[in-house]
Order: sequence, then C-alpha cells, then structure tokens
Amino acid sequence: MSRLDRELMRGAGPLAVLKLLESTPMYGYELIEALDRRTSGVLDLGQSTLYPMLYNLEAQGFIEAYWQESTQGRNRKYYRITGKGSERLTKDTEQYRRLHTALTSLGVLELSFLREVIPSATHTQHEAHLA
Amino acid sequence: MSDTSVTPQGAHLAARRALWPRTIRPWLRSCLNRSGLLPREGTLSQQLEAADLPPSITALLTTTIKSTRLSRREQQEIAAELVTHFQDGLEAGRSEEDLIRTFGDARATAIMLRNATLNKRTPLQKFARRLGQGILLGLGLVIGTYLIALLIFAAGKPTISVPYALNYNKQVEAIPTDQRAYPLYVEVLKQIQRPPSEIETSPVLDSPEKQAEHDRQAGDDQYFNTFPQRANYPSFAKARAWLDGHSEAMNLLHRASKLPRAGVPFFADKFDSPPATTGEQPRYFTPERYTIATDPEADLFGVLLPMLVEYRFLARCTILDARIAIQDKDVARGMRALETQIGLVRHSREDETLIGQLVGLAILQIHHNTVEEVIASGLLDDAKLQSLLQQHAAIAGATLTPTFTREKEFFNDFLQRSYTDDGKGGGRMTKEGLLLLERYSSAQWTGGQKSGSSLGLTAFGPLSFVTMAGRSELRSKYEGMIDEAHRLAKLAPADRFGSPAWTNPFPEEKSAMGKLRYAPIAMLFPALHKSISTFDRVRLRHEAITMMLQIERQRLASGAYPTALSEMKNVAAPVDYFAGQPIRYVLIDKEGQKRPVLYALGPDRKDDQGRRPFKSGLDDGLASFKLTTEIDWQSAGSRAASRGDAILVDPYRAAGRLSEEEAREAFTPPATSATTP
Repeated sequence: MSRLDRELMRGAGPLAVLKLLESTPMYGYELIEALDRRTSGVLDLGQSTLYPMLYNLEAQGFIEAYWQESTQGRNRKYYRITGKGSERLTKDTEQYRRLHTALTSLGVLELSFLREVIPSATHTQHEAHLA
Repeated sequence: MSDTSVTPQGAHLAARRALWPRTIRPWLRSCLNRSGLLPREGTLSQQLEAADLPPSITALLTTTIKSTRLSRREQQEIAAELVTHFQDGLEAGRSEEDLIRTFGDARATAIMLRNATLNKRTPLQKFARRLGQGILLGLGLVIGTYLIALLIFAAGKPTISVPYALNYNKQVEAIPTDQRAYPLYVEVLKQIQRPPSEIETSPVLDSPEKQAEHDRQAGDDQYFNTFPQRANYPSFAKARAWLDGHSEAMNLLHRASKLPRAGVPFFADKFDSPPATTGEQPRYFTPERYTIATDPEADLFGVLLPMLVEYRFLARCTILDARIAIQDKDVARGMRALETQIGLVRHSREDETLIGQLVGLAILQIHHNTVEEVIASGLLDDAKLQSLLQQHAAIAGATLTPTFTREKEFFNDFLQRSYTDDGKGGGRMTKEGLLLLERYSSAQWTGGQKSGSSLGLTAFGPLSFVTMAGRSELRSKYEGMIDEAHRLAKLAPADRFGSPAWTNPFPEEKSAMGKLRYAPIAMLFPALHKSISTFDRVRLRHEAITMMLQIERQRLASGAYPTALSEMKNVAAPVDYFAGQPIRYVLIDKEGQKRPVLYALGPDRKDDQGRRPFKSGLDDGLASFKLTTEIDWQSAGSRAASRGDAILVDPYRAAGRLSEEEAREAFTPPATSATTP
C-alpha cells in the first residue's frame, strides 16, 4: 500500500500519533513501527518526518517527552499525551468523522474504500470505524 | 637537512610556538567550551562514536545534526534520540542501508529538525535568539553602512576653486612701483640692524624690583615696551647714536610710509626655518627667508605676515626719533616721525586681516603716545597741528572701523580645502580637511607639508558625516557669526554690553556635541569680540587725542589752555561711551604748571576729577602705553572694577616720569567723588 500524499499526511500524521499515544507512552522507533504496522504502511512516517512532528507536538503542548531506561538497559526518549493533547485528539477525531460522513454522503468514500485501505480488518471493524 | 644552526633567537621562537598548541590553545578552548561560546564538536563526535553505530550511519547523523546549527545541548539531545532510533532499528534486524534510506535526506531532515526544535524553545529563548539576530543584523548594517561611508569619505576630494592667496598677491604685484612701499620697506630693513641688546633691554625703571614686576606683566610684549628710550634713561645717548647712524634708512622709511599702498604680499612656507639673526637680536622678516605665495595651492590660513612684526619695530624707532626731535627742538624731524607712524598704521592694516588691523591699532596707540609727548613739548606750531589734524581725520574712518571680510575668506578657503563641493554650496568633510584641522589644532604649522596619520583619520573620517556640520551649514553659521559681530561693532558699547549676542556669541560651543559639530568654527573663529573692544578703546583715544590737538591750537592762539571744553569753538567733544556723555576735561594746576587732561568716567561712571587708578609697581609712562594696563574696560558690567577715571590724554604726565611715591600721592582718589547719574 502506498503512503499518503504529503498534504494528507500533514493533517493525519499528528492525529495518528496522538491516537497511538492515547493508550500508552511510546518512543520514536516504536511509533514508526506501530504506524507502519497498524496502517499497513499508509501512515508509514519516515524518521525525517516523525521526529520533527514529535517536536512540534511537544512545542504545542500536546505531548511531553521524558527519558527512561528501557528493559534492554538503554535510555530512550518516551512521549506521552497531555491533557491538552487529549482534547485536541477528541476535537480532531470529531472533525475527521464529520469529514468522512460528508465524503461518504457524496459517494467519495464507501465501505469498499475502507476495505481497500485496511484489507486485514473485519467487516465489523469497518462498520465500527465508520460509526 | 638537519638544522644545526639554530640561533638562540630561533630556539626561543620555537619554544613560543610549542607553547601555543600545547598549553595556551587547550586552555583557551576549555574556557570557551565552559562558557558555551564554542560549539563542542568533539563532544558530539564522542557521543556518536560511543553509540557504536556503523560508520555510514554515524556519518549520516553527524551531517544531519551539525546541519541543524542548533545549540550544543539541543544537538546532543537530538543525537541521543536518533542514536537509540538506529540502535532499535538494527536490533530489529533492519539493515543499515534500509535505515539510511528510510531516514531521508540529511539536509532536509536537518531543516525540519531545526525548525521543530526552534518551535520548542521557550518564549525567553526565542526572544534571546531574536535579540541576538537583531544585534547581529544591526551590527551588520552598521558595519556595512560604515564601510560604504568609508568608501564615500575616501573618494571625497576638495576642490580649490578660488586661489585666495594667489589672487591677493596678483593684486599687490599689479600696484605701480612708484606707489608701492614694500620694496622700500625691504631696503629699510636691510639697512636698519636691530639695536644692541644694551639699548633694547636696559632697565627703564628706577629699581630692580619694579623692573622685574614690569617685565613680568609685560610678558611677551616686554620687548616692545622696553626698546623706546626716554631722554632721562641712562642709555638714551647710546640709543640716539644708534638711530642717528640710520638716518638714511629713517628718511627712506618716511618716504615709504607716505606712499599710497604698502603692497606687501602674502608669504608662504619656510616657516619652520629659524629666524635670521643680525647681531644678537632676531630679524623676523628677511626677503630671503620667505617665499611669496605664487602657487594656486597656497593656503590662505597658512600665509605668513612677517612684516607686521617689523612694522611695530619700525614704529618704535619713530618713538625714539620723536624724542630726539623734542630734545633737539627739531620740528621737521618730529613731524616726520609722527607722519611715519600714521603711514605705518595705514600700511599695516592694508591686507585687511584681523591681525593686520590690530597691529595697525597698536601702532596708532604708539602714535597717540608720541603725540602726547610732542604736545607737551610745545614743538608744533599751529600749521603743523592743523596738518596733523588733517592726517588724523584721513585715517580715522577706515582705521578705526573693523572689517572682517578677510576673515570670511580665511574660512571659505579652509572650507574649499577641506570639504567636497556639490556645486550648490554643500559638501562633506574629506581626509584633507581633517588633516588641516589636525595641523591647526597641533599649533605646529609645517609650511604646507602633510603631517599626522592619514590612515587613522580616514578610518574615523566617516564619523564626521554624522558628528560635524556640512559645508553649507558651517559657512552659513560662520558668516552669520561674523555678520553679527560686525553689527555689534557698529553699536555703541553701552548698547552692546550685556546682550546675549555679545556675552555668548557662540552658544553651541558650550556643549561637547555642539563643539564637535562646529569644530572648525570653534578652532578657527577669531577673537572678534575682544578685537571690537580694542577698536572701541583706540577710537575713543583717537578722538580724544584729536580733541587735545584742538586744545593745543587754542592754547597757541590765546596763550592759555581753556578752563572748560565749552570754551572751544566749533569742536564737539567725543562721547564717553560708558557715561553716554561728552568726555571730561580738567586743567590740573600742579606747582604752577597747568596740565590739561581728557578723561572718561570708565565703567564705574564716577567722576574722580581725572585721577587715574593707581597701580603699584608700574611706571606711569609705561602703563599709559596700553589703556588696558590702567583699567579693565572689558569688565564694564562690574562697576566696582575701577577706581579713578580712564585717562585718555594727559600730555604732560606722558612726557614726564613720576616716581611711585609721587604717583601715589598725586592720584589717590579723593574721599568723596562726584557722581554722574
């Protein structure tokens, strides 16, 4: 699956990162891997994109960083979402939902589109996503 | 080739070279690293080296992180995060090529990292960064502007459009030979050697203490005051013999002084050469010593007027001449001396320089003193007195009115040699102008040779664009001050005293910035106000002397001096400019001798019946040489400044010589003085 265009990535990337960090703090490489894996490469952010994005989110106060020793004994820089980040995530999610609804009602988006984008998901998951 | 010829100096240099890399440089680097002024390139390298990543990844990270141009701390933090990123990737089994490929372009990544990191900075850090950028930008602008100004300054050249000195010399050279006195003066000066020192410096006062006090007060003028010998001085006979030995030269001098024009050129250069000496005394002017300014480049401010010194010397010779005439009752010789003095007054001011006019006034005062002595001697008959009156009237207008036209020329000449010319009167300072100012301020005229460091002046030259006034402003300011001084000179002194224009003619000079802005004016503006006061004093004295000539005519006609000025027919007394009333006249009767005295009330405006303020230590005959030694006319605002009156004419006293005791007894002011409202 090819990656999204830069413009689309610019809006979706931060939202995706916030969404991943909502459940647990993660470090840079872990985020890249997770995005690649869970979006089947659609949101495969390279390092050159991810780290500046993280710094910008940090500058905006949506996430915060801290250093912590990992289980391998290596110091890693972890990122976690802040309260402000959570609010932003909620707001952006709502906006994407409305956008999706609008595009679906125009016939631009269909369930088949989601299947094409995320083929490994079950029908139920697709329905839930649209809901 | 082995170096077996190391000198002790070479070994010393080698040791010094070794000292730098081994000791000083590391210490300096350490200090700079601690202060954060020097990026810790070594530390970043060490950090990446310690990560034990493949060389290609290390190189990529080095390039990327250095390209961010962030602070050392920020670079280290990014490095630490990216190092773990690559370590994680390698541990996950990805190849280094794959990791490098997915990392993206190093430069583009560096830009994004930099921008994102800058966003993370606190407002204070952002402000500090902006401030630093602003300062750097400002410095850059200042340096850039200064460099441009430096180029403009270095490119600016003055244009000499009016060769003032040359033009003047062309005019004097055009004077017909039979009307020009200069060649005759040169001949006179060749013939008249300076008098022997025993005549010039012999004591003139009756005690060593008085002489010492006199010499101290006379200062630089000591020479001018001591030369003329009185008949009762011990070395008068020698002085007379000396002058009689120059009778031909004195006749030539009289001829020269009667010619319509002096025609003395402006001289230039050779100023640094020592004065020629004839015998024991220096000869200030010799034609061989000076060069007539014929070069268009000749600087008007640097022209030399050595003849002015010699005019004064020749005038003092005429005092001696007149005293010999009085002793011999030689009317012709006495008149010749007086007429010569008048001619010297006329000629010395002919160039219309301020100094020339002031020398003219000094010689006129010599003439006034001589007239007093001649009147007291009764040497002149009515016809001679009338002739003298006519000659006085002829010189009165021009001689006693200051003109500052030449002073304007001096300044305009300075401007054209110092400033560029935009053709509209404007222009900016040049290196040549700063050199000129430096030479004027150092008081070491080098006769047109360049002096000082032109490189240093060029470096600081652009500052003159903002600190100093431009050409048109300077000219306008200078000429305005000259015109104002000219206007003040035409006012009665009483109307002038106390006015702001008189007490503070150059207010800008009070502040350092003002002085800098008008530095050429502060340095070159002549002492016009003091000069105007000198004109006032000499003018009043001249009018009083003329009045005394009329009184002497009255005495010859009636056999007695008038008892009051009201007895004089068709003669108006000059105005005492302090009192605003006619000057006073008193006929002092001392031991049967009637002594006519004309006097002004002076700044205190009190009538002390013609008594002069007594000044201990000064012989009256010498004190009368200068009015300023008797009374401080400048301090008109302070009425307590004077005791007694300002004696304008006192022929019998001038002719005689009183002891200190006599003077104290005769001229101590009475207990009660008449007061003029």
